[in-house]
Amino acid sequence: MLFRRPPHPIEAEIPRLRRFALALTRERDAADDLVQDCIARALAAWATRRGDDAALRPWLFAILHNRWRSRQQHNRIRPDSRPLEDAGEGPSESGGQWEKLELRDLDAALALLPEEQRGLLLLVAVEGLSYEEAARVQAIPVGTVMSRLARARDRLRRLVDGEPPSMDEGSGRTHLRRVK
Amino acid sequence: MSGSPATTVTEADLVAYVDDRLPAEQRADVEAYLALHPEAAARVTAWQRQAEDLRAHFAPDLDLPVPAAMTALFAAKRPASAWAPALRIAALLAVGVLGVAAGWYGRGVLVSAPTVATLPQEATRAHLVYSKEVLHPVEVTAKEEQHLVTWLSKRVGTALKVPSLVTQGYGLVGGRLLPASSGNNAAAQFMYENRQGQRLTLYVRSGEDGSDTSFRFAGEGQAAAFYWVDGGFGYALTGEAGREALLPVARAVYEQLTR
Repeated sequence: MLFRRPPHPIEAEIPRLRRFALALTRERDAADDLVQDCIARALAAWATRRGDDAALRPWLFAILHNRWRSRQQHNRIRPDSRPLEDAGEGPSESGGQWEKLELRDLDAALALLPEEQRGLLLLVAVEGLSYEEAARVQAIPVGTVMSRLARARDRLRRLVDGEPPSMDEGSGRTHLRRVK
Repeated sequence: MSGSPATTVTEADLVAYVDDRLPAEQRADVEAYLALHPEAAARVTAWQRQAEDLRAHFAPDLDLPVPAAMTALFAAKRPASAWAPALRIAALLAVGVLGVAAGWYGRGVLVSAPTVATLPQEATRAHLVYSKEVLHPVEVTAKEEQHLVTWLSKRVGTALKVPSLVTQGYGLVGGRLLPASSGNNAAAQFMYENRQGQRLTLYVRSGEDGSDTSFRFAGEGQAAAFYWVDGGFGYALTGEAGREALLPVARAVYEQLTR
């Protein structure tokens, strides 16, 4: 067998993996299931892993994110699955219901963010991953990380303030070049 | 305050400013810009406060006790001592128990139905048990394919070939020995997986009394199987993808095995 170091370095990352999984799924059972899957795959790939210990966490996050996405594709029929692209997030989710929601609570506001945006906020603002690491986890360009972060932050801000999301998030800030 | 740096500040700069990822010089540029643009400054302040709120919000999640099932994943991977053989025996016992259970629940079928009808049932049951398995989907992995084939061939009683399903998008995960209700009571299960994580299993057992059959299809709950008898051996390919997706793969298996 290839795994000889007790305790295994991955074990120390379990709480963070669970937190990331929970941020993506927002269901405890689904999150833990995802973490199990992630650990099993990480252990299977451990022998061929490249990278130092500092890169372990992003590596694990990437596996977890990848597994989560596979499941998303697999369970596309599920009502809470959303398109993964950032584009067009406004029309599909804005509607009459927004006016009825009283959103003062951060948790309730987070629940209304697209999963990828929620996950990215956790990776960057909470876990402190570099933009490059976060880009690798989500398999997107670094520029998209930054524009996605801006959108997530604006959106969360409006949700917490109880405002309905505007269709055009760039309006009123046209003096800033939008970075895609 | 001429406002000259303002034109070079982008949204990405504001993001990086909030995350404290900017070099000092660029930070100063952003700060100069923010001093001139109250709307952007308000946005940045809100983002900063939000980041603090997020850290506070997510902090308690780290203190949750880790479930035993997760640490167990590592116990199995840490054969530092006498644990490894014990775990292996435990795993074998677990397989034994499952086999007994499968036999018990299948007993009504065994007396009333012709043997071949139990083939897709046994295959499907085994598929449903092991294809969901994260920790031990197989006993012997594809890395030891030669050993796997030799061992299972010996137990099932025929020179097994493991079909390659790479063209169909499935890679071999490995295989395991299972109890069977026919022949020498041993069956082999080979597991395949595609890039989406969907799994198929090929089940092979001996002792099929009847003559060779063509393809037959049996759907049982979540999984469905194509099965056939060839030269006294029963084969079943089981998956959860549905008949249309399964058929071309089953054909590929059949062609490779009967070639």
